[in-house]
Amino acid sequence: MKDTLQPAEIRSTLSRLGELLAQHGEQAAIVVVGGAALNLLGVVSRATVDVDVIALGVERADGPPQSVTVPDALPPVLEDAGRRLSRDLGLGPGWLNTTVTSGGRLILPPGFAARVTWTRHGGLWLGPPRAPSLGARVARGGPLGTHPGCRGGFLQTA
Amino acid sequence: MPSSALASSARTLRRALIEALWAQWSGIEAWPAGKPARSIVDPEALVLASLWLEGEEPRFWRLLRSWAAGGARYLSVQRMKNLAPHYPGRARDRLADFSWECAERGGDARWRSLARAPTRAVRKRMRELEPSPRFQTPSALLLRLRIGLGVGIKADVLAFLLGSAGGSRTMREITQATGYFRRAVARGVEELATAGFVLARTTAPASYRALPQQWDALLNLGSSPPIWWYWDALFRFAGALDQAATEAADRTPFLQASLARDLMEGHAGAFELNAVRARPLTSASGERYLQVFAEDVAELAERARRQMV
Repeated sequence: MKDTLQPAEIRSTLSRLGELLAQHGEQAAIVVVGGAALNLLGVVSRATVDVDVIALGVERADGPPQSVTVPDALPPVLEDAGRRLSRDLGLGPGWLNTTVTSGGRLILPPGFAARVTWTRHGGLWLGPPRAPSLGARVARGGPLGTHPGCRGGFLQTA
Repeated sequence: MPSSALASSARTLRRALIEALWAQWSGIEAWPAGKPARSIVDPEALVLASLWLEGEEPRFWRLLRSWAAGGARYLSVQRMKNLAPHYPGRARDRLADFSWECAERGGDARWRSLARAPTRAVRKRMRELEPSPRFQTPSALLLRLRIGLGVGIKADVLAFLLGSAGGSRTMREITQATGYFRRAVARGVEELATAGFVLARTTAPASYRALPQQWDALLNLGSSPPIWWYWDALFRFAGALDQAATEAADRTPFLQASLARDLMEGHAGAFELNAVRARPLTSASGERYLQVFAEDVAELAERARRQMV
């Protein structure tokens, strides 16, 4: 069982998640944050223990999602595909999770959905949020805590 | 790994099973000329598997017709109904034709509920084989017990326990092997124990055994009584693999590997019960598991061909 996902494995793992979804005629859209998102954006190249799903895209028939919702848990279709991938690739059982949403109580900042860049991988729309100022912040050695790709910077209800 | 990895495994197993089926038919029917099987033939599983593989080995149909005429009354219609849904569509479809033969040529009205009259074209190409069943061979033990005790659960349970080399078997294992409903099996087993035909053991869970020495004088089992292998479980796996291979022909190796794991999860018994140790699903990641799967299936095929008959 793998404890971590290496940088090169993150995208391929999510691509395979999309393959599995497509194979079963399913579709899903996820916005990921944290280490996985930063790797996908090319901001960092480091191992991560899991893939944090902060939001689900609201699916459309003719293109990528335009709006998102904060889930309290993964929808069954993603839960099933994640479990299957855990078995097939030897990933930890919680490798894909919504812990970061604090059970759905997280409040996303205004305009969050518009900052998501969606890419399609089979049955999966994958959208790490982008931040134009991030490159400069990283170059300055500044904290990443306020970047939408990180876990900080969001409001939570009491 | 080529994209037809599952198809290759399916083919390997089908070929081995066709050989095993010939040996089984040779054990209970005089017509086939091959080396007869020594292990216990599961007759309903044999019929269903032969119906499934008849497309690849058309000579099976002549044997099936011959058996319908001479041995239909020793087959269990209820058990056939229980087992058939787990076999490929071809077997289920042809079962209607076989049932017609059992009803018409075998004169056994029990089969009418499953029967379908053949078309004229099918009837025309039929060439008769005179029935020539063999009931005294080791592999015909179950059939022989059915002849003696009647077609039903008790004969099958007794055959299974005698085929377990004196070992104890739980109710769950007996139910799994015989393919009848659990409550019916429980009643049959308890009555066999009450009658002293089998020995109930106070294990947890309760288990049952048949003492070979108790039956040897009657059945002449000898020093190496025939073994019960789990042919039904094996045939079901082979059928499911065949179907998966067809469905997955154009899938990526990764998806084929995922499907292969599904098959192993759903049919682990086909391996474990037949003493083949399949490697864990996690023994290779992603599509690399296809190689592991192919090797495990090849081992199962070899075992079916060499050691299970």
